[in-house]
Amino acid sequence: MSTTKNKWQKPTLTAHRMGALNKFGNTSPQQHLEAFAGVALLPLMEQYGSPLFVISEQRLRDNVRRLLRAFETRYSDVVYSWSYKTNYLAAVCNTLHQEGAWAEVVSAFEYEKARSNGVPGNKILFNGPHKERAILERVVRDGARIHIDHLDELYLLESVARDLGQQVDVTMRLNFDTGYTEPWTRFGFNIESGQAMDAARVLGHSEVLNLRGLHSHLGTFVLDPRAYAAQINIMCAFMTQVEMDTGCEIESIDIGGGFASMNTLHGTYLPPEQVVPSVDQYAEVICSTLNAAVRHRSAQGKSKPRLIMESGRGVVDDAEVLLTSVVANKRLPDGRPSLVIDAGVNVMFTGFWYNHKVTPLQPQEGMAEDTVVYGPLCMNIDVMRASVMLPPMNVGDAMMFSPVGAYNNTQWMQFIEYRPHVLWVDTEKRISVVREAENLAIVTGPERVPAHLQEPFREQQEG
Amino acid sequence: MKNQLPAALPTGLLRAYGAILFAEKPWIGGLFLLATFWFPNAGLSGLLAAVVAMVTARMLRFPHLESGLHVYNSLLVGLSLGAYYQLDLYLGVLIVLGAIMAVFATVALVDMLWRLDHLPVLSLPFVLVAMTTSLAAHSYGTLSRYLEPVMPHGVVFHPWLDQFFTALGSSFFTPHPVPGLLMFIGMLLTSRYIALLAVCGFALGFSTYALLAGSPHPALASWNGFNFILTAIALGAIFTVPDKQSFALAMIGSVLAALVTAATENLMLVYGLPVMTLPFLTTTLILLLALRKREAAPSMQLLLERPGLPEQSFERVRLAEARHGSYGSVPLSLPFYGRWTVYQGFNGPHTHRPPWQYALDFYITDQGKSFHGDGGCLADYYCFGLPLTAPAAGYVVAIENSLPDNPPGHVDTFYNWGNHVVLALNNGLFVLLAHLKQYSVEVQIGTYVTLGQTLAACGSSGRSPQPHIHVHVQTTAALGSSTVPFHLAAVLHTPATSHERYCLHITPDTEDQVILPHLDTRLHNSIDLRVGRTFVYRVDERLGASNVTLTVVLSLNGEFRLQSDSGASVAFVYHGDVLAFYDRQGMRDALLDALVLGLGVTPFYEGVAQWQDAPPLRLLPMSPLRRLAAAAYYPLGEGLNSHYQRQWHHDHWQQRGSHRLTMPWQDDWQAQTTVSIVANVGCTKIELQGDDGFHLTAALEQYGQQADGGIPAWTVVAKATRNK
Repeated sequence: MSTTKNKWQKPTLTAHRMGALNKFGNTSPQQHLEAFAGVALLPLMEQYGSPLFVISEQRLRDNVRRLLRAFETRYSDVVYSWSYKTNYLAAVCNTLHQEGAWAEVVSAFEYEKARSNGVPGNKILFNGPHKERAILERVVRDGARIHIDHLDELYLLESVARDLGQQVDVTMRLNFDTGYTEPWTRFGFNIESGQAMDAARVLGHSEVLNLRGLHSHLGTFVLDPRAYAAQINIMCAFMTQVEMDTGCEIESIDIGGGFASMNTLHGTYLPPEQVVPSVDQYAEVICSTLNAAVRHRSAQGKSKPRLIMESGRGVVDDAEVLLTSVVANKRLPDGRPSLVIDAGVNVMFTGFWYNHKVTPLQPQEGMAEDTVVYGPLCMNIDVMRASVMLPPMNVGDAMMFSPVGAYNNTQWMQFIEYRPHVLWVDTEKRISVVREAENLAIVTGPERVPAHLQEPFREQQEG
Repeated sequence: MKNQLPAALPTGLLRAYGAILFAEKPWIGGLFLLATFWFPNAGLSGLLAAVVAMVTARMLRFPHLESGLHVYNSLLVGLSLGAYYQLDLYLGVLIVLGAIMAVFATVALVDMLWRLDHLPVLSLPFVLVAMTTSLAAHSYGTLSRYLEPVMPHGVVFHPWLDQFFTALGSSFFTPHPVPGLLMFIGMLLTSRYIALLAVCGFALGFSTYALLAGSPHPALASWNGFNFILTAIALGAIFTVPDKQSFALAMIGSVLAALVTAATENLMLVYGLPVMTLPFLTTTLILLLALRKREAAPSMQLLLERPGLPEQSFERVRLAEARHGSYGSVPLSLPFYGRWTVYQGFNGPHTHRPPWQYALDFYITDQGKSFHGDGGCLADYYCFGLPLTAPAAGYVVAIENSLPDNPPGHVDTFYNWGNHVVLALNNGLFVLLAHLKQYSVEVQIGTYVTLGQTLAACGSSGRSPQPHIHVHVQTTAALGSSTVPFHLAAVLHTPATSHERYCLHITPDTEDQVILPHLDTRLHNSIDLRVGRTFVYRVDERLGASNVTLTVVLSLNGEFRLQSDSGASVAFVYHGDVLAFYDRQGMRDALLDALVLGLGVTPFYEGVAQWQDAPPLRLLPMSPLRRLAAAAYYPLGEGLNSHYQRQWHHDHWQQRGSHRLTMPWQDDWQAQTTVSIVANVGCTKIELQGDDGFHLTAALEQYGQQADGGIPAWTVVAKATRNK
């Protein structure tokens, strides 16, 4: 007779459900991961606390190199511009700049940040609907490329250029319907209504502004590469027309970003491995369409336009993970288990749209159950995963949310909790902190308290 | 056109005099004309024949009157008759007839010899016509004999010098040291190298002649010695590019001419005829005809299509080699996009053995590996399926599209080349792209493809253990015919052991990486050199300050030239992604020289750009003494060792050039140039700093456009640019 006792497991209840599990479903047995970017994660959490962001420099470089290679080996002139709003931590930006990326910025703040990162003016694309005179003056002087969003901006820029006595090359942002994605009509000039051609004619008559580039951005997380083929054909047709009508010469076509990353939008059934196209698939469609669309240009004595892309999510998303720990276990009234963890939507804002992959950092025993994962905020909306198959976990167990590189370190907010450290694992697997965790001094630093509101309880204490 | 003709006549006449000793300038021809009047009888006879020939050629409207082509043979006929007979009415008639006949003979023979094998006519019409007139003269009792004194009494300069100058004078039937000296001066002014060949050729030819003859009649040697001179010049300087081999050829030619001269003397003696230029013609034409059968080679290049002064030919070939790669190598563009690595270079150990030694294999690597994952399937290989483009324009003459791609590690040795495309280039050669992906060929036989057009995708068919692309240039359309050397033009080249650099031409080695540079359109558009553009510069140098205007002109033969108001000019090509200056002509012009040195070859690609060039040494600022020393050490000219670097500097591009000339026994002579290029304005500032404290600064004052039928002129004052 064996005397060893089986280890005790928490009892679980698994309801029978029809239709949820099939050979495509997301039912792979839960595995655990102990390391990311070649570095053991639990010791990191011991040293730097929980929650914790970790970025892999190697992964970031690999991603951008893969993207650049995919496009540069298919088209003659390709520029990759790093979309600052995706993640403007200086370490991230500078890594990408070292790999040859330009900067795509959408505000005075981002512009100043790019310049302070050392990006020369002629390698900055200034996009977005909000540009005021002061920043436009600086941008024109620095020789950065302005993407005009609306007519009022066009007139403002014209007056700036006149005042500075400078010729300014500009890019026009366009919007149109490809039939594949919901058109983002709020940005740029609409082609179908004739608005874009009207604006191009205004530029054609301008003595100081020269139309040199076209830009459009289809949307985000575009899963069908054919959308880009439609986009390029529409833009190239517009390019031909605008060159004929206004005598300008278009030097660049900027297709924006929108490449999907290995993440799952809410409401998507299939796992990302099956629905997200590879970078090569995007590149093949985009470059072959563009090569075909501009083939006649050399016969007309024009150069092929430069292809600019601004993929943010596709490059940075899977280079960063969020480590967090279980704070509490709860059984919900409907019978489902739930967890409270120490990272919420305050630091992982994209949790509102994406079902991030959740991976325990220690081996877990027991049956996986449909679990709700709540963040630490005292707010009903703080749900990190509304439904995820997780084995039972104990207080203090660690888990990893991934991919979180895109939009979290820019959209996160100081709300209720301090924002944590962001760690950097360089290519030699050395660790450094690239953004310090917040503390009281940092959070209250910019605050100014009028004299009569300071130390409200002093009298009582003294009294 | 009519108005220009009277002016063309005297120019043509003087050019004809010059052409006999290969001088191009009319005033040097004038010097020769003067020299022929040392013996007025001969001089007048020659002039009469030349005028008659000019008038004849004009009346018959033969083309290229101003070149003097139709005249110099008639002139020689006149001179030859004037050397033997007294000029009177009877001889005049004979001269007129001979001159007219020589014009016809020239036009006819020029065409015949060109068709034979691109041979020059030289003085062959003269020899035929002069033989005719001389033989005919034997029967004309009306003519009075006249014999020029063959040698002067006593020594004029020095016995050896007299011998040489007399021989030189004899080429104009004026065998006397003084006219010979005049001709030698004209020769020296035309080309020092020609003068050198003349001296060496004569010395060697005369020695041979004297050695074999024992004690030759001095008069014979002086009368006919010019054959050695002419042979040496024609073979060593005019019809070949000067180099060591062609110098040796010239010397062999003059030795052979000595043999032919002796033989011709004996033959012609029978008929009582002078030797004239027959030995020179026989030797030169036979040697040239034989040399035409050589395969094209970098040494002793023949210039039958474009004969010229040796200094000019040498400079042209030197610059062409520095900028276009070695002679006979075919320029190709990259047949792909992006950064690829050379898998196997020329004379590679695996398959690039003769006759396929001139071939390049490319693939893509990342950190030394050509695949990701485990490399077990073709899709793991970085280059598999990538588009391949036409490396040159041409017709598709053969394709294969249906062979399967081998799994990694396997090869198909039956269809070695796998799927392929063969393009017929415009130069008569063929390009093969092989190992293409199955069913990826997008063109059909007969398609004319342009440079950069997509042809197919990279695959692994044929003898290809892993996906790669094989490129070579071959002599025929047949698959696998023998290969010829080629190079890649205008690429960024990263040698396995060094940094990236822009190369106008490169044949990369195994492991090297290549990528096409990105054109910087803003920079490209900033240097606007269309016809009629003018640039006014304020030039400060040691001699003081002045305003100099540079104008872009288009010459009649379609050459763009940048011309200074001093008359000095330089030709340039502004083609796609490169601006290149060449053929600097005219007097010294400090601004133009500094500009040409500073811009030399300028590729318009972006980023921190580095490249090399070899502009001619005459552009380097030098003191007169140094200039003389350089001319003595490099009689044919030499290229500078110029290194360029350009980068964006806050609000303008700064292109720095460092130029060195290697001199023996002392440090390199050098100069530094800095050119500032402002977007949409042009070269706003040119600085040059040379040895001996030479310094030049030029700032753009204004630029504009000259008026042209219906297009008004305009000028813009250039703003002082901020150069921080």
